Amino acid sequence: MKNRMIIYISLLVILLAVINVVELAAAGDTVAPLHLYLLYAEGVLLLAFLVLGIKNHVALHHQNGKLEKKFSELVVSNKTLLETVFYYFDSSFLVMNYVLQETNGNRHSLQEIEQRISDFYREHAVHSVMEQAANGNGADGSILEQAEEMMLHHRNMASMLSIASKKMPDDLLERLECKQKNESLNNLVARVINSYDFYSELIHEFFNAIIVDLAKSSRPLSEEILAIKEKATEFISKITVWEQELTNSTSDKNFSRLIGFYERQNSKFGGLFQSISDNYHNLEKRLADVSETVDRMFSRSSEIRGIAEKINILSINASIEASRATEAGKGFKVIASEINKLADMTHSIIDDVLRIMSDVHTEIESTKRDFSNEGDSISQTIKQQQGEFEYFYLILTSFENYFKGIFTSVRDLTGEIDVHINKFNPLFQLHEIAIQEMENLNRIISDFLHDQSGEMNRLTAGYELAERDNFIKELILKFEKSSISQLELDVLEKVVTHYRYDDSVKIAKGSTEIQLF
Amino acid sequence: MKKILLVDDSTAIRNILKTALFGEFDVIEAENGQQALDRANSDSVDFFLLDVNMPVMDGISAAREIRKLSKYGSTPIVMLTTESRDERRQEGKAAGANGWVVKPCEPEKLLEVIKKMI
Repeated sequence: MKNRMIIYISLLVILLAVINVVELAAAGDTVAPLHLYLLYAEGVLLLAFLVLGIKNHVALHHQNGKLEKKFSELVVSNKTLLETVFYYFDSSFLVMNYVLQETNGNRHSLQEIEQRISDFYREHAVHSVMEQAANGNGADGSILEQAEEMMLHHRNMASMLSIASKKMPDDLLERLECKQKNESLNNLVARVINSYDFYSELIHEFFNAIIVDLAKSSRPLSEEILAIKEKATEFISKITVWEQELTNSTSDKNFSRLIGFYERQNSKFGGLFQSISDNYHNLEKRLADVSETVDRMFSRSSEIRGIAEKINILSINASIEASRATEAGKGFKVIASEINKLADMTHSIIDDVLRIMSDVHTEIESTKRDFSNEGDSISQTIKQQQGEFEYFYLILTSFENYFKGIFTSVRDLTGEIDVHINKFNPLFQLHEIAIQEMENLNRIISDFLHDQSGEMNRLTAGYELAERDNFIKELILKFEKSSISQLELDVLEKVVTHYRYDDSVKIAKGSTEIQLF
Repeated sequence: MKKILLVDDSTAIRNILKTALFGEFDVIEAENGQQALDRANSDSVDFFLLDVNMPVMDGISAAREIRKLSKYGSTPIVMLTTESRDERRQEGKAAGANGWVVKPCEPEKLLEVIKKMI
């Protein structure tokens, strides 16, 4: 068919050349009718050529109809797919790149497809060729070559797309999902970035507020507890000294000793009072004896007085007798007179003695009465004193028991206080540690927010799922290095378990609470 | 009564620990490693209880410096800290500490350790 077309075209060209030669030869002559005929002939021939050309072109179409049809069908059937691919290649080029890198198994073929499609657009303007053909251009045969080349290329493309289309839908869905996730994440990160400073400040202030509140609540309490402990210890110390003083057998204030002392004193006083009482009775008895003696003396003094009176009478008689004896009796008279004087004197003395004795007797009687009264009073007083001593002894004994009870209670109470304070002690420590932990966490978060601002910005430009794990792992390790306490490490361990990084990230574990080297 | 130098930058922690040691030991205080060194130089200390993380000078550096003082060559030094990591313990040991106690701790256990070492 191609050869036949060439023959037709060659013949027509030769004929056209002959006509032109004849026409040129006759140009100078009056061969107008011939010239007109030749012009008509040329027109007819040109028309015939055009008809033949179009016919051949149509024939070309018919000849390639099946192929064209197949191509058209292929194009139509893949149109949606192509459009989708082109759309997503255009709109999510970065996503595709990340996904391609991630899905290494498909990377080569998909990149090839991408390249082919790009080449298709760039080097083979399908519509342009078709238009050229429709406009009759390329009738020199180049159109055929172009068309064949294009068809060949399209066949390859179709084959490639056919292969790709079988796996494309699944991939595409995955990529779409990735892209959506990526877009959502980017939007989220972008929002976070937009409010980064605000949140950063907010977090910082939030932590500071908690730290200040915690510090406010724990520090005065810890000081209060310390003051209570100090006062309780001081109280215990005083009580202990007191108790020792009261219970120590060598102490002056020892209860038992004091009681013993009073007991001995009581006994001594008892003896003393008995002795006093006895002495009183003795004295009373002696007074009675004296009184009796005085009475006896008194009675004897009457006899003496009688003797004195008899002496007086005797002296009177002697004087009478001396007068009778005259001169011889003068001396005797003097003696009688002296005896008389002596008798008077004796009488006077005896009267005095009797008066004195009477007074003494009266006095003794009075004293006896007084003694008797006093003795009763003393006996009563002694009994009273003894009673008071016994009462005091009883009081001391009861006080001793009472204090023993108090000491026991105080010991129990202070023991309880100690136990409770000791129970609170770790709690206060924990409270303070919590503050330190918060401060540490605050510092870590502040540092992290500061350090990661650049990283966050980078994330907004593109987020790679494959990098997410590395990023989180890096983050966990950074926290792990900054963490100092077991509490923080425990939290990190939970995060690691949550993200299922147990195999690749190991959190250090602390040892026992107390370790001696 | 034996003298303990209690070093911690937190006043509350010092108060809490003082409560635990009160009556058993004579407790003197310092807020950081440098103050601890000054007290150690000017006083006679029987036992050091050092926090690890402190401003100015940390506890491990303070332990190292205390060990350089001839009179404290064999005085017990115990680090009292929230840090529980083994590598830090080893740092403390290398600096001359004799023990490592993780806060919070039971007062009875702390007393027991101190009495055992002093």
